[in-house]
Amino acid sequence: MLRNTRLVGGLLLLAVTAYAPGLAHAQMADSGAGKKRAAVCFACHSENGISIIPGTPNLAGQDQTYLANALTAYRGAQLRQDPTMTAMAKPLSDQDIANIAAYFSSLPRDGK
Amino acid sequence: MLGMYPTFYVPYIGSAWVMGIIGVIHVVASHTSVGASFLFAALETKAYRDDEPQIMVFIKRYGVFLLVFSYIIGSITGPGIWYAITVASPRGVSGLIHNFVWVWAAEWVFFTVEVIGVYALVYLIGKVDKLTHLKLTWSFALASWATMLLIVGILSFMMWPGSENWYQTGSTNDAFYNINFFAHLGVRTGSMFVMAAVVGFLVAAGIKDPDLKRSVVRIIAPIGLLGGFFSVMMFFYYLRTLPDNATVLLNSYLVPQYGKAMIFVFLATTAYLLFVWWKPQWLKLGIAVPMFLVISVLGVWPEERMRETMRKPYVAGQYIYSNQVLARDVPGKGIEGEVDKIAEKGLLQLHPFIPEQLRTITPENKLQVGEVLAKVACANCHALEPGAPLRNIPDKFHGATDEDLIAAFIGGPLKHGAIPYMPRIDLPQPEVDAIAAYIASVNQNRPKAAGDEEAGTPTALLEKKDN
Ligand code: HEC
Ligand code: HEC
Repeated sequence: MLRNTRLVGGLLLLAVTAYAPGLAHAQMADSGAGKKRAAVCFACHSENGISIIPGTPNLAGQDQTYLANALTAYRGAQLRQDPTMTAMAKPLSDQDIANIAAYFSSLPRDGK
Repeated sequence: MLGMYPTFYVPYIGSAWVMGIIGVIHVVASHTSVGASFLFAALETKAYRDDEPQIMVFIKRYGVFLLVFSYIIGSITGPGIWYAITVASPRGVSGLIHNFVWVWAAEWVFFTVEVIGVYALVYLIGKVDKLTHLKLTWSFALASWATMLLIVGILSFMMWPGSENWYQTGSTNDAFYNINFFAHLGVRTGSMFVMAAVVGFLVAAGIKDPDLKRSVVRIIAPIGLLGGFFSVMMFFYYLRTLPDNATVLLNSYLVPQYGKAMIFVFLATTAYLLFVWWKPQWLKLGIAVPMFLVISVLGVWPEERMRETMRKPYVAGQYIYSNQVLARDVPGKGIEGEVDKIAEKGLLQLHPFIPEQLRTITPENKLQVGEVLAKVACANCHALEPGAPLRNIPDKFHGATDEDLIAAFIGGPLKHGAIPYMPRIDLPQPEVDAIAAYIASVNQNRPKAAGDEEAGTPTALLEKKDN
C-alpha cells in the first residue's frame, strides 16, 4: 500500500520536475539521488543541512545555483580552495553536483 | 617500525566504554571514601567538643559500610583501570609513567596510609582515648585527600599541560602543575563531599534513634550542599582552562547530549539534600538507595565521559593521539612525532603488529586490510559496527556506500587535520582506499531498517514535503 503511494508519488515528482520550466539546468536534478550521494557530506553538514561543527556552513535552503557553483569551484580548486572541501568535491560528477545542490536547496532553512 | 603495541578492540562498545564503566564505579567508590573521611573528621570533632559519644556509633556504622563498599570495590576497580588502560592505550600509560612514576609512588604511600587508617578508625573506637582517635581520623582524611590530589595532577595533565614549557623541559613539575590542575582539584574536592553526603544518607537512613539521625543529618547535609556549590563554581573555572579542541567538542556534541542530565542531577541533588536537612525523619532506605543510584549514575557517568571525550584527539598531554600515534615532537623527553613518517611509509609497513600476510594489499585481502587499518587508526574512538554506542563509524558516515567520498574524507579533512577533535591521519593512498572500501562494505551489508530501502529515489523528497 505504502509502496504504491510512494511509487505514484515518485512518478508524479518525476513528471513535475521533467516539465518544470523554471529549472533550466543542463541536467535534470534528482534530489533523492543527491541525498544518497551526500551521505558522507552529512558527517559535517548534517542530513538536515544545519551544521553543528564550528566553521562549517549551513547548506539548508541555500540557493541551488550558488551551491552548484560553490561545489564546481571547489572541484576546480582554482576559484575556491579549502583542505576539506577541495578533497570532498573532487570525486563529484556534474550530475552529482546538480543532484546534491537540489537536495540541500530543497531543505527548510530552520532545519525543521 | 614504530614503537606501537597491538590494538585491542572490544566490539560494539570499544575499549573506551570498558574503561568508562570501570572508571565510573571507581570514581563513585573512591570519591565516597575520600569525602567520607572528611565527614568523619567533622563529625568526630563535634562529638569530641560537644561530648556526644552516640555520633561515634554512626561513624562506626558508616566506617564498616565504607570498608565493604568503597575499599573493596575501589581496590578491585583501581587495578581494573590499570589493566584496562594498559591494553586500551599502552602508549598513553607509558607516557604517564615516564612523567609521573614518583608521583604514583607517593600516591601509593598515601593510599596505604588511607587503608590502614580506615581499619584503625573503625576498630579502635573506644579502644584508644578520644583525642588520639580524633587525630587518627584527621590523618586518615588528609591522607585520603592527598591520594586524590596526586591523581588529579596526573589526570589533568592528560587533558593538556597548557603551555609549551613541559614539551621543552619534560619536567614532572611542569606536567603536574598544569593549567587545569587547581580547577580540576576543586571540582573533585567539592563533588567528593556531595558523594559522601549521599552515601552518608544511605547509612543514616538505617539509624533507629531519631535524635542521632537528626544530629548526623544536620551536619552532613550542609557539608554536602557547600561541597556541591563549590564544585559547580570550580567547574565553571575548569571550563575556562580547557584547550580549543575540548571547547569545540563541548559546544558541538557534549552540552547538547549531556547538558540536560547534568542540570537535572544538580537540581535533584540540591533538592534532596535540602529536603533531608529540613525533615531528617523522612530519610528512609526507599529514598536513599534510589537517590544514590540516580546521582552516581546520572551524575558521574556524564562527567567522566565528558572529560574523556573532551581530551580528543589526544589521550595524554596533547602529544599522544588516542589511536596511539605520537602527534608531535617532545624535545624534553626525546620524543619524535610519527604522523609524517606514517604518511610517507604507511601503517602497513611501520606498525609492528600487522599480520605479515596483510602488509601488501591485494584485491583479495583489501577488505581485511581495511578492517585492520580502521581498527588501528580509528577504533580507539569509534566502534565499527552500525548502531553501536561508541560514535560508530558506519553511522557517522550516515550509511554511505560511496567509496570515493569516504576516501575523500580520509584523504581530505583527516589528512590535513581539519577537524579539531580528530587526529591528523595521513596515510598513503592505497591504505586510504582500503579503509574506505571496508567502511563502504560494512554499510553495504548493514541490516536494512524497515522503510529505509527506498531512500535515494526521488520519493525521498516527497516524503520530506509530506511531513
Ligand atoms: C570534514 C567536514 C566536511 C565535509 C565532510 C564536507 N564539508 Fe562542505 N564544507 C566544510 C567546511 C569547513 C566548509 C567551509 C569551507 C571554506 O571555508 O571554504 C564547507 C563548505 C561547503 C560549501 C560551500 C558553502 C558556502 O556557503 O559557500 C558547500 C556547497 C559544501 N561544503 C558542500 C559539501 C558537500 C556536497 C560535501 C560532500 C561531498 C561536503 N560539503 C562535505 C566541511 C565539510
Ligand atoms: C582520537 C579519537 C578519534 C580517532 C582516532 C578518529 N576519530 Fe572520528 N571522531 C572523533 C570524535 C570525538 C568525533 C566527534 C563525534 C562525536 O563525538 O560524536 C568524530 C567524528 C567523526 C565523523 C563525523 C564527522 C564529525 O566531525 O562529527 C567521522 C565520519 C569520523 N569521525 C570518521 C573517522 C575515521 C574514518 C577515523 C579513522 C581513519 C576516525 N574518525 C578516527 C574522534 C576520533
